[in-house]
Amino acid sequence: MPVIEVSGLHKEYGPKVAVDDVSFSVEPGEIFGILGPNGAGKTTSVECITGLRKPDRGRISVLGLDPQRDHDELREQVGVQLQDGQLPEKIRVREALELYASFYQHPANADELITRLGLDDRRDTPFDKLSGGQKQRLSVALALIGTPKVAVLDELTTGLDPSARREVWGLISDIRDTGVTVLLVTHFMEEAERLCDRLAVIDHGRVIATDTPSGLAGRAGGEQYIRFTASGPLEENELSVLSEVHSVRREGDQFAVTGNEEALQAVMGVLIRRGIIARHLRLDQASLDDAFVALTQHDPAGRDAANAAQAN
Amino acid sequence: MSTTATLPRPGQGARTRRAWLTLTRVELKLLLRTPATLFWGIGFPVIGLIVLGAIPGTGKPVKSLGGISVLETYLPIIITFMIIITSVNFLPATLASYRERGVLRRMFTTPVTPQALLSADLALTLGTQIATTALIVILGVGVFTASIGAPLAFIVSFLLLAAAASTLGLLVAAVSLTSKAANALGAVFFFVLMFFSGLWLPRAEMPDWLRGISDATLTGSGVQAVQNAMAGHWASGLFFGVLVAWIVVCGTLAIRLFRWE
Repeated sequence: MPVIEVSGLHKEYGPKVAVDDVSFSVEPGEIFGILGPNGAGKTTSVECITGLRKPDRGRISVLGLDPQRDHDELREQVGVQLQDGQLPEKIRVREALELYASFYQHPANADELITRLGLDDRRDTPFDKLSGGQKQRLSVALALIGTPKVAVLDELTTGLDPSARREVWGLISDIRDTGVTVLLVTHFMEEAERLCDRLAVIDHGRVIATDTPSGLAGRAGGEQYIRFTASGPLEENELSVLSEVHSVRREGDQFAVTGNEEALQAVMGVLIRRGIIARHLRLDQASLDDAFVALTQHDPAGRDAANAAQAN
Repeated sequence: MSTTATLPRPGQGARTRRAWLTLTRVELKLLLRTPATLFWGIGFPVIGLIVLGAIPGTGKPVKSLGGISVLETYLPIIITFMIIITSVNFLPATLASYRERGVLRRMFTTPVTPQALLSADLALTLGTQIATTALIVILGVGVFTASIGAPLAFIVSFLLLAAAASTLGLLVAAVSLTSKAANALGAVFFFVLMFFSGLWLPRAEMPDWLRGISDATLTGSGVQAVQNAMAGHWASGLFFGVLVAWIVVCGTLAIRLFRWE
């Protein structure tokens, strides 16, 4: 049975449609990502799932519970980390965990959690003196203090530097390994690619694709990008005639070739026959990034949003 | 799963109590880490009373003050100052900043509702006010020459004044979208209410029309009720009526208008 089931979710704020029609389901023990540009309706969807907002239409079931009706039971079972859910400035790490532990029926051990999240030397540090990464780790700790079955993490690594981001990523994999199902909201491709078992791409309030990260990347056409420097004279058309190759660009002795999954084999075949060595050879797969842009660029607004998301 | 959701869980009351006590304890620690609150809420009123009491002659009855001493005139005003600054300035500033920072929103995702945080902060505010007032009364009566003729009337008047100020504080927190707005609105209320309490011009020396306006304010009525209690009798029911009206009106509006985010 899926842990989270959402079907036909719709939410409007006045004239603005925040979530048009969102459906997906999350299986036990997976990290499920919701990926989309800013303003795509990710946060609103999550707020409906966690019971913070009442959807206008649609059905949501979390662990068999209705977020609106079974509000109390849901709060025991679902740990939430909010995009801008903060703490008082002067509360200390240890106090915050003890406080939140007192809210739950079966709280985890605060000290163990502090150690697990690497906050041992920060237990008496006030919230406003923590670094961005430490704040996020504390936020994750608070989401886990009630020993939830599901953890919902919204824009966890936004605003973190790359090393802090990696720290937090490690943490999320650990959480999944303890059997907690994770719903992860993000607009970072790299984050989704690394962490998520499956993900739903949301744009303009609709799910436009649900798949594994590599499955989504494959939808961009399974393109390969080959770059190399030829050791001897080579003409562009010697490569472009190959059926596996889609395009060839040449600048001096440098070549950039795109093609399908067998393009590398075909290109190397030509080079070997001609006795040419490919120096500085680089091979890139189409990434989730490419898939995302391909999926969201059906209209100019989507393209702008995708670019904005990538720029972040 | 769905059956346990609809049934009250065993021990839920005890857990709610434990959560509330932990909340209050943590909020108390945070209060103790805010020196400005401690100074203006406790230190300044107590020091003010000591300075006033130490000035020679402030214990003697004065005719223009209706036959009571300067000390007895200002003791209720000092208590009112402390009540207003903690209820109308510090309480809404704290609550508005909690809303602004998403502290209340964050609590919505836990089994404990933000109401628990609100009531913990209210209890702490009232606790501070009771403790400081006790200190002021002990000093004023025990060390200096003030007397409290009707202790029960004093306690009832004090509690009504504190309750009226706290509900006004909640209303300020309710209508202020940011903590900046809460501070600004709180400051306006502070000066207006302190003026009508008689801080700069004692109520006994106000012209009739001005005292009439003062009577309708929660600080004017509150100070009058406390002063009468000190003189040994209950104030006219009108003053208590004004305080209760403030509580009802501000309380109703605060509940209607309060936003968690």
